[in-house]
Amino acid sequence: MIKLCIGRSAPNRDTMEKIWRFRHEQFVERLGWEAIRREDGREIDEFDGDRALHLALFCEDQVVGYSRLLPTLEPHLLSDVYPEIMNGEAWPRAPEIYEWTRCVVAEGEILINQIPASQVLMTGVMEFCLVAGIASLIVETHPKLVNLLISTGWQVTTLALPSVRDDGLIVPIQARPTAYGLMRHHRLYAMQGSTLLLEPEVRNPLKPDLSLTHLPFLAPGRIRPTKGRLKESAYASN
Amino acid sequence: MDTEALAAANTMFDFLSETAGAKSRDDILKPLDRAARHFGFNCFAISGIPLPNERIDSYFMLNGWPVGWFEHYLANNYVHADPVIHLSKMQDNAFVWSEALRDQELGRHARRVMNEATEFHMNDGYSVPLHAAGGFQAIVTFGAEKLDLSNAARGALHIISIYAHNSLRSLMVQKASSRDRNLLRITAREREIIQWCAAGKTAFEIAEILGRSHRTIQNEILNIQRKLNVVNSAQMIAESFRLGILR
Repeated sequence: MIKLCIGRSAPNRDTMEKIWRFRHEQFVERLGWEAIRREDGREIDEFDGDRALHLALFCEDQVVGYSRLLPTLEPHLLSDVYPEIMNGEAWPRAPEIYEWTRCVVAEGEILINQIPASQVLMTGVMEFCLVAGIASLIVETHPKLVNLLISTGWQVTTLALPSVRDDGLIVPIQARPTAYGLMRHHRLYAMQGSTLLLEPEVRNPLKPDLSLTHLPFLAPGRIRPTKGRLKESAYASN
Repeated sequence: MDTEALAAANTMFDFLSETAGAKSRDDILKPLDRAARHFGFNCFAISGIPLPNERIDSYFMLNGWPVGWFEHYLANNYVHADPVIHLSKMQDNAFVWSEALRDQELGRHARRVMNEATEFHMNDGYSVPLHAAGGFQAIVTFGAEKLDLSNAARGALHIISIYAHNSLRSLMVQKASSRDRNLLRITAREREIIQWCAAGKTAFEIAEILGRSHRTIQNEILNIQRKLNVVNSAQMIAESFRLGILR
């Protein structure tokens, strides 16, 4: 199940510690991003501020998947690391627009309630956006992931030509979540229920006077396979 | 940005805006033809990739190939010998045929496909493999007499291909679901009730909103569930999204 942590808040200290270590294991030790290697084995950068949102996918008490959402009104990767990929054009920035970075799932065939962890994480990011009222995400990624996002039901606007960087192609996009798109994830992956573990003390980061509540149109209960229904084919036959 | 890259970007953004509200295959075919010609291609095609024991015929989605080549390719069932298709299954980066096949030892059948393609002015090409959720594979492919593609052109075509394929797919799904929906005959009243259910209202609350009795609404919900062949309201909402009753 996916848990939200905001900033580096003290009540989440144990969870945050697991997140920093998981990020180091995945991005530095597994994927070889040497530029962010740290002596203490905790991958933390200058963007992990008070309003960074951490979505951590847990399998029992272990982090097995992760994504970070950064507010676009504050420094984020597109503004501070590689703004040149926009070729001088502006990109959408607003309180309800976040930047999606550091998306990763641990290796191995990890299942969460019989569903592959990667599918739970991808579905969970869209579900979280709908729950919190995030209108869109800015993503800088490889075109093949642009294809994945479109085919799973995100409404994707391409913001610039793909650029060639040392680690391959990268293209900035804006991806909008919709209820239709979330249901498309559920059908493609033959799942029902919610991916999110919403703790009552965690407030909505966009509207701090509200708590986060599950979407009314999802089947109640935790994410699980749908019974007796075939997955939707990603290709309709002619 | 240099002028060539700027022109590539403009071609990409033109294609994206022209196809944003595509209602038919033609709405995609014509802008794709314009974009392909801008980058020096004379033909293109979009197709799903069939399993080893299947033919490509029913997977073909958009055909901008020379007529003679299309017929020849199908008649000879070339898809399983075609080295471009083979490469597309093995990797997910887009590639220029001549660059990707340069160091490959091609078999007799593969060489034959590539040689015969040249008779139809497809001496070289650029192909974009697409791997969708669920393990399905497709390819968007462009053919040319001679190719000189900049990085900007490659990037633009890669994005154009992704959008062209996904727009086609969603047109096909829309067509299928509107056919299903027409068979179901969901009324405006039923649609309204489904919308309230999706907003999280109970039968009791919907009755209050619509000024009907609780029992009437309960019956209507059961009736909708029977029509959609589902057993609870979460399934009813999921199925309504699938059929396009809810958007």
